[in-house]
Amino acid sequence: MELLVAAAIGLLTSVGIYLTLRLRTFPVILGLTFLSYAVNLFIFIAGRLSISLPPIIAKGASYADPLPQALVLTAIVISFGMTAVMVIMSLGAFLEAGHDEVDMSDDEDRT
Amino acid sequence: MSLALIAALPFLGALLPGLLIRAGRDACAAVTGSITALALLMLGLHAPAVLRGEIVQTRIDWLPALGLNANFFLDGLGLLFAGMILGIGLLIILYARFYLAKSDPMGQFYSYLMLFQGAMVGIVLSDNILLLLVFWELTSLSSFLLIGYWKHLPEGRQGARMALAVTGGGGLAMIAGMLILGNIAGSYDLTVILSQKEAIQASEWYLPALILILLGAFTKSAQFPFHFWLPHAMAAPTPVSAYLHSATMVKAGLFLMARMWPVLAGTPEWFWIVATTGLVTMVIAAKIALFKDDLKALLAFSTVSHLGLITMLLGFGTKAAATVAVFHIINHATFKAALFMTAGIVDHEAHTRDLKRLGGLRLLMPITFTIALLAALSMAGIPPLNGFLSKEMMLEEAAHTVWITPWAMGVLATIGALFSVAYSFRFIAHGFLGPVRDDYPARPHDPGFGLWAAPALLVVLVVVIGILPMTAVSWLVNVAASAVTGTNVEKHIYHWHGLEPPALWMSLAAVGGGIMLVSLHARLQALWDAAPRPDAKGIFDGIVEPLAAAARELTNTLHNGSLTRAIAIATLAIAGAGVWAFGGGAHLPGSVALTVMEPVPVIAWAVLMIAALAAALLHRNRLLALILTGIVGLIISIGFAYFSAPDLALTQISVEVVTILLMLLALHFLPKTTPRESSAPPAAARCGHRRGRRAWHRPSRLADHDPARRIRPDFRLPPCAIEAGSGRNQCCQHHHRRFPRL
Repeated sequence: MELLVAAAIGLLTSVGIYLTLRLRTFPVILGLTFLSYAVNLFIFIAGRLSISLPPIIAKGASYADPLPQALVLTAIVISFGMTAVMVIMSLGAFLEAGHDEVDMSDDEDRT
Repeated sequence: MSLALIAALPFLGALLPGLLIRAGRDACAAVTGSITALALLMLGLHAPAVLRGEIVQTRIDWLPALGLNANFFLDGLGLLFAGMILGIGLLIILYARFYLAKSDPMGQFYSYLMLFQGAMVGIVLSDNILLLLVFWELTSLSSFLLIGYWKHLPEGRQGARMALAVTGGGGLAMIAGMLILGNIAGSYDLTVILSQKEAIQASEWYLPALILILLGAFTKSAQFPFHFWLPHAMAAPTPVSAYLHSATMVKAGLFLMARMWPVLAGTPEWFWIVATTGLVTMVIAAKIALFKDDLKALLAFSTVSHLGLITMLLGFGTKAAATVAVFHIINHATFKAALFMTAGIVDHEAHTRDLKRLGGLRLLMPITFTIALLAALSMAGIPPLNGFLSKEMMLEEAAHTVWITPWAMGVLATIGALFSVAYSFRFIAHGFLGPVRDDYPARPHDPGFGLWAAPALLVVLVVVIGILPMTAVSWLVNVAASAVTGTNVEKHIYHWHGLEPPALWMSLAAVGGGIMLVSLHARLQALWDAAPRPDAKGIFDGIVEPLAAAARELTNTLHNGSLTRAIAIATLAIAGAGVWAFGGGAHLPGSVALTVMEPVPVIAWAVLMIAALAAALLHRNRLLALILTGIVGLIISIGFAYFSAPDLALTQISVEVVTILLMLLALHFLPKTTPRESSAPPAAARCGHRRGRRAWHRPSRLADHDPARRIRPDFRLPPCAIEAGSGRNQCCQHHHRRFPRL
């Protein structure tokens, strides 16, 4: 399974970077979403893959590592917040400038 | 705890003046002064123990893992320097209260001054070289603020930048040197390092460490060839000059050399580098000082010269010479601070410090004249003032030191002393003696008590030390010199050594020659002006400006305003760092058994991979890309559940739903597809301005903004303009202008 997860992280990262480098805002937001998937998964498997283990501490039995889970839990919520802000910013930029390009021209920068 | 408190007090005090300036200038100065006085008092409480030969220590663990501890210790050398920094600091605070004009922001001034004071006290009390480095850099930064205090003066800003560049650069070299030293000694604690002379001098890293540390000390103490920053720092208000260049900033380099003396000195490398630099600095700077017309510039070069003298003495590497160096540090601080303050008084009252426009001030400003006269005579080394005592001892040491030939050192030291006599006499002769003039920019008169109290007190010290050296300072010199040399020093300071020693004759030659030089000054000045010499500022600018231009060029290349480009460069850099780290590490086979692949998860994985790939390939159809993203997110939530993290799965899926909804809402307003655009613009636009590319994509927008259309609504942009695609392009402007006339 480790190989599959590693491959998935690699692909998600490359898709994320590819989309982040587009010139329009919407693909960039999608790219960031992909990147946060990849990073969350990466942090998560840093605590090893454990299949069918109890996620809570039980006496005597082994259990899933709670630390990466706690980290990822925070990361998911934060990345959601970031995505929401980006969406609203891109909407604002689009309504203001009349186009959704990432880079503004020099004229628009000045005004 | 209390040593750390002494170092911390000025920093705490730096907060107050800025707040208290609303309560008035007197309150502000009083509070600043009382904090300094409090620190001085606490230092005084430790003095008896230190004078008995004990070492007071305070140890606080800060980052023990890095070897960085907030350890402080107070020995004789630390006591001498801390006393000088706080004592003269107190006088400067008093002087500055009356010196600064009403329009100067005084709260800011005192805040900077206290920051600087704290950094200096930190340097001299640190028992950890990393901590010392932190304070060292802090003095560079706070002196930058102080030198550039008059922000409206371009010389002030340039001088501050130059001081920061030179001393900060030297500080960087010193960091490297200190780290090497710490590595050799196996500890970053000074007390440990100081006890390992043999190990350090035997190490093959001794020479690199020595050179790097000396670079830091020489830049700070303005030794040749780094001396040029100090005269340019004279654009600062006079209290700053008096403080930085008599007792503190420039003495930090000397302090460091004295502090490291027990481990670094005594080798031929040390002797040749330090003594030679000191000697060259002393002679060259003394010569330049004679030909400066600006009072403060004259004092600046004389400071450089005296710093060279002390450096040279430390460079001799003998116990006796180090003792003289310590003694001269005290003497120089007293007379030079007094001289700077009198120069400030002259500037304050006569509105000029140009020796060519001054003269005859002895009748107009008798008090200032008395102070200046005594301090300048001490600087010239005239008995029985304190400058005479240490200069006599210096000449004695120089005469007995073999440098290239047995007599070269003695002759050059005498020449340095000769110029020193000459510029000291010139300070008095051209500034205060001579006829009273009627063309001063302002009618000079003696200032109020507040302004001359501080220099007067220092001059009293000059006289007292000069007449009663054994009672006044020998105890301090002995304890400080013992700390420098690491052995017990009992130095007896004499006024009269008899006719036998060469120092007497060297002194006489220096005084005689100096008087001759002053009387011939007009003719020498003409020669000096005609002689070619390198312009240090020009060279410095010549080095710094191309560097700044290159930095600007690099920044513009890396970041030309395009966010996409910036992200691409950052991504490449991060990926490069990752590849480098991956290639450098060792990859051992895992110690944990791999988990088994089951068919259902493999199918889910395949779906995820296909969806992610498809999202990248089909991202132009935004709705489709969004749905594919949703699928990826869904599979990741399932994956979390599968890998025993149901809480994550739950969070992921709810966040996923809300995100997709939000993006769908946004997509309602945004364009539904992403247009194809090439990152390589067409030839016509590429050669034009960046705006040209924009115009290529949207010719209609250019036409909307076209000034000609406002005049003729039926106007259509000529095809050439669209083709060239630039509003700023010459071709287009030509058409715009011409068209209405057609």
